[in-house]
Amino acid sequence: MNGLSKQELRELLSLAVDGELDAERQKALDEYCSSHPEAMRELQELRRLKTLMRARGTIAPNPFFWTRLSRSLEKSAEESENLLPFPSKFLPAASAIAIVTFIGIGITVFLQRGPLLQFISETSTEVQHAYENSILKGSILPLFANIGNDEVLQYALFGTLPLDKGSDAALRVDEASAEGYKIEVGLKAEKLNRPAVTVKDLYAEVKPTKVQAVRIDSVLKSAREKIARAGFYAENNALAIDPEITQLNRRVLSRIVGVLGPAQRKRLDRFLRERRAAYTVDFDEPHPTELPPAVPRHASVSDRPRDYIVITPDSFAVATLAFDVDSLHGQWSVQIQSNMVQMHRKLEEFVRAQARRAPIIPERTEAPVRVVGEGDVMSIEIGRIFVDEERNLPRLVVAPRGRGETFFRFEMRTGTVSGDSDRLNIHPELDIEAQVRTQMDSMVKHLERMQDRQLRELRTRDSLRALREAAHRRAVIADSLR
Amino acid sequence: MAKASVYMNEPLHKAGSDRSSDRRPMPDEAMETRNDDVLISLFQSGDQGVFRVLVERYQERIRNLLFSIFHETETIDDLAQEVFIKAYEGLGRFRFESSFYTWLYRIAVNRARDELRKRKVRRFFSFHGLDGSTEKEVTERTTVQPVSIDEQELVAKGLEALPEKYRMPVILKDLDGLSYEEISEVLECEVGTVKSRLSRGRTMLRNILAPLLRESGQ
Repeated sequence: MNGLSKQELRELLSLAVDGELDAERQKALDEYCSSHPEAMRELQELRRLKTLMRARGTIAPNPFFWTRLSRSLEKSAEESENLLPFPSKFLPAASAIAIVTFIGIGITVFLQRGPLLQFISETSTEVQHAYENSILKGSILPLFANIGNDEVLQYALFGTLPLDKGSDAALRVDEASAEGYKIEVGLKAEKLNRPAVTVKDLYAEVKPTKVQAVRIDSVLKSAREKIARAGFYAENNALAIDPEITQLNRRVLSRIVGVLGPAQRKRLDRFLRERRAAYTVDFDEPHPTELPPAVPRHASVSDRPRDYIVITPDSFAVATLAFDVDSLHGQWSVQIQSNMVQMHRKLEEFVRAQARRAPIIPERTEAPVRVVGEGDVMSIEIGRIFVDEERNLPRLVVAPRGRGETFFRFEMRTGTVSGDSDRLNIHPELDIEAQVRTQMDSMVKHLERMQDRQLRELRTRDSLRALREAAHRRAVIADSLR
Repeated sequence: MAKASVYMNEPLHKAGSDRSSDRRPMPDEAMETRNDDVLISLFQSGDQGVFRVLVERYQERIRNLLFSIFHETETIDDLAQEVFIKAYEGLGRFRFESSFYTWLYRIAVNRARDELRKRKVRRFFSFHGLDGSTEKEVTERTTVQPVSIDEQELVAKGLEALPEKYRMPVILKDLDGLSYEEISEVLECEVGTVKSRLSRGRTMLRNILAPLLRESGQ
């Protein structure tokens, strides 16, 4: 060891820092260092350096990285599609083949024009209907399209729901029996300080039978679909939230409890306790009767209008909306992905703007609704008429454990708010129903205008294209017959 | 190149007429648990939607690797995006001779090298021709005093002052925890060279950060 060059010694020290020396070489190095303080100091400093390096900060995750990347990939794919799929030297031959083929097709079309015209006519009608049915799809975006069963369970336990997978924005429902319900939208999900919980964890704890697992999955799936219908964001910067989402977490847990046997419920309670969940299993309450064998997979709301809290940059309202949500689903994968960044930003801007609009928009006693802003915080309170446990919920067998911290919230109260008249009636002259009508009229008119414009464009484009194609076909056929 | 819009329009698993399965564009759990080789095989057999799983699995590691090299947040996503586009373009020809992530790291490191070459001017210590300097010269010119700058900032700036051929092994080993063999695959050099450059890079960095190391050792 004493015959080592400086460079060899440094390489040995570097290997030692990485724990890559075998026992014999390590021992020799230790002995060398004990008699050479400079080498010992170097070794210590190299170790300190490695520790410092490992403690480096990391860059904040980018939840929208895929959105951005997929756009670039799509763009480059479109660009590549514009290129010829064969070497340019074959262009003359390819053109000749294309012309011959086109003439051939033209003659065939001419000879078979009767059946073809009938087919085109039928297809055009279908295409037109498809266009008309899908016009509204781009106008309203669901907020919670990308959640899975794990997120639903997380929501059931803690009332937290990410606006998008990986996003740092989350919604939280916080229930306190005395004061009603509070919905909070947090800009920083980490502030929620909740452990991640998965369905797998739950199953490991409660050990459900196969049938129970299927039922729990069904409950979670049903909840997922409800959540997907519970929040919408419109391109005109308006937001609609279904008040029932405030109770969905409790309902999901209650249904899970209903599926389980007594011993499993105890294990579930322990599971909830260990994870500091918002609820505890209430053993004093009778549990509900057995669930129906299957939860409906498609609980369409198109035929049953629902109450939503509708918030726009200028005001807010409670309104009954009859969105055919299913008609949006086919477009979600595109719309959500391509609009998530913009939606997230707009949503943040909009809530901040709302929060600045302190303090009050008035309400009527029989339909108590109000918005209160304070800094970056906005609260919405809604009366019992919109959240009616007796009407909507099965018997609940979980009870709230307590309240958590708040940071950014929509607030909703189920009790009467008439006692808080000082705050609620600052502008008693305004009529909430008028507000509702104005806001919804405005939103619907906007959508109708968009729909009309797009329809006109599509029809014009279709007609022009059809005319051009017909003229071209006629010319080709005429040429070929000459 | 295949049409990339399939990533966004098509669910990873179609389920006949069940529209509910079309509602989630996110990769499903089964797909997320599959190993890289399986996903790449699926990609090569036409299921290009799995590329998203691979991206989401490695995007933060690649972003952090680039952040370690450039220490700036503004351009990291652009660079990372280029890395993944390059990976997408080459994935069809991936021959499983190395692991996917060392292959991806290689793309990232090569992209970073190109970028460094393009920039030429050193951003913090403003040294020109540093690569040709002796270790002693580098140390003398780059020794920094631990004033009010945060420790991490100092380490970052020290790293930035290292010539690229020494910086890369140090980052890959000490920041990303790669083995010598993996580093040699990423940097396309012998394991012995990796050890030697690592040792030299660490020594240079130790000399640069000497005041900080002594202070924290007291």
